[in-house]
Amino acid sequence: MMKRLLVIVMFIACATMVFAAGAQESAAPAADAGHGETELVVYSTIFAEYAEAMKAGFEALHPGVTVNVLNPGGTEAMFKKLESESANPQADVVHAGSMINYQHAIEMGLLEPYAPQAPGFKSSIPVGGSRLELSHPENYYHVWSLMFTGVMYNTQVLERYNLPIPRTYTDLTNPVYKDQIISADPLKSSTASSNVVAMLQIYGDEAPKLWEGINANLPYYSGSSSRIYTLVSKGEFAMAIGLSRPALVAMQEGYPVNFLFPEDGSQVYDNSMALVKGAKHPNLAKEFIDYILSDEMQLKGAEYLYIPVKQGVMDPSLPVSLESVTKDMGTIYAPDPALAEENRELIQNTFGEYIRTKGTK
Amino acid sequence: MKKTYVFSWFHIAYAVATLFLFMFLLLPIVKLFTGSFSMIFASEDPLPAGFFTYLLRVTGNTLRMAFLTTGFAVLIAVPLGFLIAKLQIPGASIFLGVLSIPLITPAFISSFATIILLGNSGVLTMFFELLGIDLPSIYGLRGLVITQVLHAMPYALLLIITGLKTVPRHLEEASMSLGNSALKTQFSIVLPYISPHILMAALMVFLTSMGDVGGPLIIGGSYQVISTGIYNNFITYMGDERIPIIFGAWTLVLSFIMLFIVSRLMKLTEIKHRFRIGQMTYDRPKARKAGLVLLVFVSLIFMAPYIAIVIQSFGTIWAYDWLPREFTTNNYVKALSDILPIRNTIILLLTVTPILVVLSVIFAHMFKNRKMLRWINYFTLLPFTIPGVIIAVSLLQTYSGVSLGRRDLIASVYILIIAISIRRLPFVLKIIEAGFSKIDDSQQEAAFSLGASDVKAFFSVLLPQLKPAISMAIVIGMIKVVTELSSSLMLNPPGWRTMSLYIAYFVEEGFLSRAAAMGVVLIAIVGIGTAISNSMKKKVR
Repeated sequence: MMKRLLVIVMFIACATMVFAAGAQESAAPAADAGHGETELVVYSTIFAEYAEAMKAGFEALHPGVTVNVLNPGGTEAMFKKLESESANPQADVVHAGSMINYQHAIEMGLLEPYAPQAPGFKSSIPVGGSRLELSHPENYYHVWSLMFTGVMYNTQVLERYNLPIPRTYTDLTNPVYKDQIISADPLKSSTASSNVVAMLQIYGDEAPKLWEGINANLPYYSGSSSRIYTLVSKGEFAMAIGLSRPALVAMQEGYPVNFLFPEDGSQVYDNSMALVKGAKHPNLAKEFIDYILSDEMQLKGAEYLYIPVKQGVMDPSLPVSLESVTKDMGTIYAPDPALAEENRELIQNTFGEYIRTKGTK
Repeated sequence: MKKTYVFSWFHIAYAVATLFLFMFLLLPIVKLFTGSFSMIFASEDPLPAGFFTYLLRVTGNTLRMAFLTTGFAVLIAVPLGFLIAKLQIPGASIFLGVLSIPLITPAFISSFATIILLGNSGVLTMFFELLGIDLPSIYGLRGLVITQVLHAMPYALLLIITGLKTVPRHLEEASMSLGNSALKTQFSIVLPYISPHILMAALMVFLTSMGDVGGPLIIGGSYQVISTGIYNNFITYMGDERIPIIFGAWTLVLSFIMLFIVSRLMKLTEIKHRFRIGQMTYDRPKARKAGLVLLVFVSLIFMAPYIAIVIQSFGTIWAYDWLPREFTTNNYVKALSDILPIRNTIILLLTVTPILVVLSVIFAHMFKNRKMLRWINYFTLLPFTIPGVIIAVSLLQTYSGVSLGRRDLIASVYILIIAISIRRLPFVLKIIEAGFSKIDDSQQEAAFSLGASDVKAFFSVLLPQLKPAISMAIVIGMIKVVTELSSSLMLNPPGWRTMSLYIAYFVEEGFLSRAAAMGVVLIAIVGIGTAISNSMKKKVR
């Protein structure tokens, strides 16, 4: 009897495996879209619903084409996957994550240049007082949406503990905020490191003093950048050093939170994308990059609070437009990969030490 | 005298299983590590000052966490196991089902559930504040041990109950007829008899605790452990890439030492039964009543975080309040509108679970019958301590060139099936091994002497004795398959988003209610699967 059961179980396993293969094959249709490419693989850590919209829109424009958007669980994991597969790349486009990540990917030889053909897309735009380069000088990557560094805060928690709303990065060193501020690990998360670099841009040589003061108020560094927003939304901590979009999404959801664009300065944080070197479907990949930079998708992104980079696609008075967001902001700094690189060792050593000794003093 | 080779189908099975382990675990990991080892020696930068002190401190933290978790989990599981298995408590199987829920829930959902209750803004924290009691922060060792015990205790409980089912009733009858009380019999006869199961449970809890990444990431605060040291420095933007290698090698040494000690202990406690199994239960109304009260109490404590999850799944936003702001069924409508993750999870459940059980039976058989090959057992434990993401990356690197016709292996569902099978193997293998340790060798020898082939002896003598272990292995296998996350994140091929990935994405975006709804659906599916497996088991009987 037991033997028969075993045979049945193994049969089920084999049958399901064959079915699984069939299910996967049916995902890749045989239709042709002009250049013989029918499938596009995009690695993206973008919000799942926006990823669905992106997929549906591109498929509607290219009948017979299937877009597969895969999220390997965070920007850093996504680039690790890209790196692991470099001998036989599986992705055609890598989407989301900031230029800091893309700069690193160029050094690793993972990307291929492509100059977008999307009408109206400019390779640099004014943001606040500075100019922001949207395209890498050699077209390795392109920025498709923007956010800003700063501080998400929970109004209910601040009220409960009778704490003032901070105005600047320097305010975060105030000892009243002890154990009420969280941040992701700057050595792991580009979100956190952008904030660290923003402080360098604002305060120069004085920045390490600021880091030290803020470090004293942090109970720990989180290994995951997205969790910090959830924890502050729920009221676990009063503040998170992070980015504007996740904070504004939580606010839109109805959580008692807000976002501080620090008065002493904020850095532009970008969402970029690039063509993967050795992509199996390069033509579709290029069309996809153009599609993301189309007016239609810029506006679609705005629905999910991704600030469009193309000027004139949306009414500047709308709250998600770059013009509205930057209207009352203090100094705005463009990302400075050179400054980040120059201070890489300082950041590694300082925060390496902070993280290793957290909880021991 | 020259030994002549006698062919056995088992040899082929051993070879296939070992090859599977070698190809999809050892080879990729060795490749990944040797590639990185050269980097350690090539690097001119010294390791950060005080690195080794840090390593020791993190090791101390990890061991403290694992010992505390193991201690609490076993201390709770042993008495509960006795209550459920021995006292004929009404609805015992329902209690067992309820207590298994933490096991079915993805670990990060449990961590959030613990935060909903005991976090800085948690419901219980607020309640105690009203009473004037300030609960200490949950972020750190305390929170870690709570979530890990929540997850590990049911596992230990299931192993211990499986053990209790193997205690021959005549032993207890003999003890009682010699005038020992029922309680004394449990302490002096039953407890020592099931000590391999208790040790196995302790080992599993210990290793699971050591290898847990999700818990420490969400609730660990500044309490640093080895697993997150590896994870954070492996998936990194500016971290030190040497750290995961050094930590990884160190963990291997630690787990080998541990396994060595445990296998010695297991040998000391190995007891074979030579008589027919029959389970002894006790009809003690007073004890039953007290047991019932205790079971209800423990079940309530263990269920509290999951009640919070169910509430969350029907809620909108829940922040610093007694209940969510509003109630809705929308989260379920949305979760169930996307049928693909549910279909994918069921397919994986039906493919990976049988692979796990068959591989485990082959390995356990091999370790029992081929002493020379027992060293391989040490390697089957690797997936416990190596984070899933590292196993995934090592597979990607090793098999990036392999094509399956139209699709590459690393972009197919097979890589996912392989990775989950490898990652979850030790959980199932250890249960089957515990089952094998109870088998009476003399029966198999008798079968041989009557002319049975080893395959025939296996099916007619060994397999029937393994039944309790196999059905437990199927349940644990299913649970471990559906909750696998860290390899799946890296390896899920196009169109293969599973339920646990769905949950992870929505937790990541802060949509806890939708994630909770899918979590509840997941628990329901595994519950149904377990029920089907149980009814099949009964039919077989």
